[in-house]
Amino acid sequence: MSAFARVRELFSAELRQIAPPSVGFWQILGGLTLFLLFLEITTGILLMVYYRPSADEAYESVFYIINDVQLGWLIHGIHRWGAQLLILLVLAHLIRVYFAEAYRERELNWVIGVLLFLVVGAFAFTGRLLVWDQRAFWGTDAVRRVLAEIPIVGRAILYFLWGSTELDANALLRFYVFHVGLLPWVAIGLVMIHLYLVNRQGIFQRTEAQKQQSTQTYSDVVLRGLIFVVLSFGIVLTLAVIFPVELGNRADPLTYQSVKPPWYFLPAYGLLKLVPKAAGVALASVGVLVLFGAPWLGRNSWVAWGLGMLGIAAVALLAAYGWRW
Amino acid sequence: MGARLLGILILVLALAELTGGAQEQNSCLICHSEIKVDYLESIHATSNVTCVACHGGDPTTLDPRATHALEAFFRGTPQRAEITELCASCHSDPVKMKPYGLRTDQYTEYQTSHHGKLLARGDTRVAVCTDCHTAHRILPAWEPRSTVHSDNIPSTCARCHTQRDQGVHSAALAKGNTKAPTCATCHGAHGAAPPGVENVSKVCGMCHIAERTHFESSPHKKPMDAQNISECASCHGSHTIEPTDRKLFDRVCTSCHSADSPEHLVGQKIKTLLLTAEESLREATHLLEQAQQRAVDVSAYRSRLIEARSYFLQALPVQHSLDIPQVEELTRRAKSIADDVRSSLHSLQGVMAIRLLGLTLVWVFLLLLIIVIYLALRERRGERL
Repeated sequence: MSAFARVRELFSAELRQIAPPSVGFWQILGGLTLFLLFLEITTGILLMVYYRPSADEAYESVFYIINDVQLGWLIHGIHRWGAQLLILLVLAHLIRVYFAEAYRERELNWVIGVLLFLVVGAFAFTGRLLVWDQRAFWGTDAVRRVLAEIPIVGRAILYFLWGSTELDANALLRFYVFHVGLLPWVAIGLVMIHLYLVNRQGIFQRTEAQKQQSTQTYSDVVLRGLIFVVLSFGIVLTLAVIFPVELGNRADPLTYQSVKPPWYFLPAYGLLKLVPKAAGVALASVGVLVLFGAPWLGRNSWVAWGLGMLGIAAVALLAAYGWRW
Repeated sequence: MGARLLGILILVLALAELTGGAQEQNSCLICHSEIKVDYLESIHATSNVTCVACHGGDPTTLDPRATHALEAFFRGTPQRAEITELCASCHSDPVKMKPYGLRTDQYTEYQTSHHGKLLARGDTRVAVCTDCHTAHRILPAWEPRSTVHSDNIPSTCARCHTQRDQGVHSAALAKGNTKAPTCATCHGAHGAAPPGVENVSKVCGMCHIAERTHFESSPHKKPMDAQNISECASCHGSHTIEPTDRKLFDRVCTSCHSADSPEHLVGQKIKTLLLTAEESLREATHLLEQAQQRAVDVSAYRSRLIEARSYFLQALPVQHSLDIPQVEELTRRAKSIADDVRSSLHSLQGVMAIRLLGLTLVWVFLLLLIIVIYLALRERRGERL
């Protein structure tokens, strides 16, 4: 039997297996994030063909992609809007898993999921600078100023991420390397472990009653998921056509521009507006640690629910504060 | 061990203090400490020009009598009348200034200035070197904190002169345009003098070269010179120069020509030509920006618009010649290109319609795909049931 036939047989066997009856709409979120990650990688590779990661050429190359490359504006738009939807779906998937307490007996997979969430955030952060317009430059520089105020480790982090204590051509190149050379591999690796563990540990079912005789196979689940994949692709495409991404003015290190972060960084922005910068970073780090430790902190269902609601309320309030100010 | 280390540390610190003391040859600053900060920041301190150079005295001793003794050529605070000569004793000396690459004609220029002439007549209220450069905190002109840096010249002159520039030039300077003229650009620095009526166009023409050239050939030139009317300032003002606006034709021309005179009509004709071209350019630029925001390829139109704008910019100085055919030709070119770009960009709006059509077709395909998948799902379920 050829290798191809063997892989096909393996997939067919997997798809023929009976899926738990509880696998419904909400379980599709995970699969959709996987599709969007694939979409981001594909469009990212296409953008790499024309993008130049140097301070002299970055802005011009993005301008060229948007204005001169055949359908470049569409690829760029899909990449940017796809990223927004990816973050939204990862967040929704995380919240769904948390409130369904699907992390029980799957603590390692929860930790990997949170890591994937952070990697998606890192993708968004590093990708933003690459267009090298005023908003990208001063938005990233605001983060640099926050990091510079962290005692002891602040400068070390800056040297690792920025390559110096200033935002310059070195930082742009580093962000590019992180965005296209490092983070995709980390994301692919984590996704593979995540999927392997889902496959090995099975899909979570809350009660024994749910483990009744099921009539659906995994091929039904995949087909149903495909409908949503097609729908989400249509949504991203529509957003990219109707709201093409606007490119601001070229980054000018001598002309300061006050920039509000994108919606997904608003909670962090609100926190830093509310408390001193170093304390804000410390609090955000504690928040991330709590997110990692959620399966252990929320062993009791009521505690887990309360902790979750408290976390969502805090994040929503901080985002509202960041948006307002 | 610890005590030994402490001893070595004290010894090192003491040596450092001693060495520092040895370097400080200017003992004047020990008593006159209020000047120390200003002086140490100055270009004189970095060039080792000490207090003695201007004030005399003996800086090698700490005895107040000996340091301030007449035998030590102590001069004290120089009188205002002697300050310029005192500064010139070094700054007019080519041998002394050569190592620093500084010019030596400032004093000669100063003597020709309005300030210098009044000082020569015994009026000590006029500006002398220290009024503009300060006495102790003398910084090089390129240093942004210097009182004679281009950013600070207006405030330096305003210490004595109440008439400050409140027009486009000072506004540009305030915005950080370092090429914008300051008081010194028009009036001179060391040779400061108000430009006479006959010289105004030459002073303005130093920067506005094209405007001056076209004005020279205009019908205005001869009669204005004959009647001693200030060429540029009579229309644009001197210290309150407003941004160039086509409304200037309505306000200024009538101050000399009656509203129904042929001269006034010439002005109105030029105004109309410029306004129509400007309007076309503005609309085309607006459409281009709109199209660009929608990620429509506008690179070809951008370069055409630059061409149109350059014709319009050429027409602006030409208007000073009052040569209607020339202004007409340039504005016509600018307008026709801008109109051409405008109509092309209008048709580009159709690109959005094409995109929406494409999107609709993709959605039709996607919905068909969804229906097919749904039917496949139902069929599988039906098979199992």
